[in-house]
Amino acid sequence: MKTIIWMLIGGAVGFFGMYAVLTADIKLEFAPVAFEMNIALLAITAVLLITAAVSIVQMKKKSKLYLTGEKEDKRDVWQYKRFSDTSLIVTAAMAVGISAIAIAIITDQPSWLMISSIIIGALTFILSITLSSIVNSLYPDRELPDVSAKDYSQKLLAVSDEGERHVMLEGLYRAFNTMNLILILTLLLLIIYSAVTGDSQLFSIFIIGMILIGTNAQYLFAIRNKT
Amino acid sequence: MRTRLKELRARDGLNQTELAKRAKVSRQTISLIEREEFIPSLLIAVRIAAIFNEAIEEIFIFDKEEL
Repeated sequence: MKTIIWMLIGGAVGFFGMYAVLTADIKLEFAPVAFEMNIALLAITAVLLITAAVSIVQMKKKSKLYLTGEKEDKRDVWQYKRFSDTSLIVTAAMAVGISAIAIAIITDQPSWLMISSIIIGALTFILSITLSSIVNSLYPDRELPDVSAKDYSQKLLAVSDEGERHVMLEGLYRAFNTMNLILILTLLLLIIYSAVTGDSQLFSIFIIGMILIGTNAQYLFAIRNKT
Repeated sequence: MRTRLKELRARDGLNQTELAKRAKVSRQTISLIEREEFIPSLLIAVRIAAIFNEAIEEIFIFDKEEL
């Protein structure tokens, strides 16, 4: 009974919310703020890049220290956490950098801004490769694959031990479920955006739909074949 | 599952990194086992037991309900 009431309330809120949004004449224009937005995104990417570069230097420096006992363990914990944080920073830099390139190209910004965006975007990729390559110097005792090796990520997974895989599985499973939910919410948001602004987002909606089907099919085929 | 790993490491003067090297696993795995967040495979349990020269059941202790 309680569920039915909540469903009715949700339906009513959705109906009237959508009705209000559709009757209001809302126009979202990026063009007037595109230049400032592009500069801001470039600045954010640059700050993230510098932070990641400093972090990489610090990790390399610390990995060369000869430590024993508890200090050695503490250094390993610090390195592990710092590496994870830096990976997140580089990924964020890459996403923001790509957004900056997208704005520069789509809104036809001055060529110097377009070139700067592409250079900073390329730097994020270089830093991402640099970060992957320092794993070998952080863990010299382990036989880790070379970053340029074919199927690097699969080889890295293969050399991970059971404890590391347990941690990765927990994290990836949570991330996979969150991604599924976020992609569905994004689809809804794009539908609402298209309806409200009259600016069709059907292409993005199809692409996201295909990503949803593709990633879920890959996961389900992987588990269903392990009978 | 309870574990005496930390106690045995202290007894033998081993840090997590050193124990991990001897057991051929990562320090993270040793840390997870010590924090009782992960039950190791039989192979790793045997290796750890051999390092401390103890029986497996003396290191990894299960409650009756778990068995």
